[in-house]
Amino acid sequence: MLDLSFINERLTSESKFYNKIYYFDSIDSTNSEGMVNNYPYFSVIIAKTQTSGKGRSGRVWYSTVPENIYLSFIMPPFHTEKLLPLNILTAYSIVEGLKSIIDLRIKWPNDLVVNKKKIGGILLESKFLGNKLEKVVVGVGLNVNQEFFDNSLEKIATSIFIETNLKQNISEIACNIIVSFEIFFQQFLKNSIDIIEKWCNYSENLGKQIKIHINGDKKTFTEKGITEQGELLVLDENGFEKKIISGDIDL
Amino acid sequence: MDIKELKDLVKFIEKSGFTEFEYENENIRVYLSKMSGSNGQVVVQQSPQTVYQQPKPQEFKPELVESKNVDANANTNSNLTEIKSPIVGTFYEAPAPGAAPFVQEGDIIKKGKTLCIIEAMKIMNEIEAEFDCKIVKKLGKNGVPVEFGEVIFLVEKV
Repeated sequence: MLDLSFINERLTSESKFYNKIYYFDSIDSTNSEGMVNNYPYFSVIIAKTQTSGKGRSGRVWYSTVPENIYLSFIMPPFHTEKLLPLNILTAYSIVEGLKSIIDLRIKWPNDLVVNKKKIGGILLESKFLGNKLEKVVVGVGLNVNQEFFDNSLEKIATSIFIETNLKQNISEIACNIIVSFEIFFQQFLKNSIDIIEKWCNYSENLGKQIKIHINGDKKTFTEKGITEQGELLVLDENGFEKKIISGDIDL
Repeated sequence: MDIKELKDLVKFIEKSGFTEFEYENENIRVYLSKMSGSNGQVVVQQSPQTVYQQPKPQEFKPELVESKNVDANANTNSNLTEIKSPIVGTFYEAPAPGAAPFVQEGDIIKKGKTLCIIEAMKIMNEIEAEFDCKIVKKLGKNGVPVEFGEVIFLVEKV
């Protein structure tokens, strides 16, 4: 069970998230909650279950299992150019925060994978008033103690429990994620993270052939790395370098 | 037409009894109007294809309000404000595939109303209106990429 006092104790008053953890037994989506309502910056909205967890482009994130993580960070505005890098850095922070428990890899831009299966996802949403960034909501979904998946998902989804055969303390996992995200976010604001170099440590597909769906087409590339802005750098079949800014990669 | 001729023309129209003036040849379309207010505001509109580059429209400020890349039929109104995309990404007019668009042309909306989503690298960015306005033209096309600074809506402040 999620234990708020445990989380606040672990965070200590030095954390900007301290005493700003908002817990829900059930909610439509922690991201929607954070987008629609005015939570203070550096809040965490965390839920036991979500009734309409959000994925990319209107897709669903299955969120009915109480022993998984569904949380959203409410972050203050920063320079617009840094939005795309934050998308990648959030994934780094989770890989780092959980490395004592499980070895996660990243599929561009920020899917968390283990053994070719998806274990977690990140969804950033932002609000612009005109051309001014107002807030950024960083949603994290992570399969923790889920014991099995339905037939349709079994081959593509996994959980920490399925991979390690160990049940985790969900509050501790939440703490690890919050603490690590805060460290990365502060360094990110100071420009002290080399996102290109870190990609080499964490990427699932670096140097491998990948298939990317772009505008209904499926094309084969070789993954070369990422750019400072977080775009995916690939080589096409003729050896020409290309930057990818949107598209889905097959697992 | 050079800058001096244009300035002379503006002065002439300003002093004249005309409320509107239009001149068009293969290179330029000039449209001047005093309709919008009692202060005799004047508009110069260049058609998008024009190769006419000097003088720069900015040099005419503050007497002139510039309105670029406007479909000639869309308006003859100097009150239009451009809403530009704050980032590179894909324009979405609705919160989810198949859902109703956030706004339609002709809608009068309040400050803070979501106009569209621009998606880039899986980040869904909601763009909200900075002021109360009427949606005159939706230039962003659903599912189509937009550049940073590209005009996605033409609105009229209300």
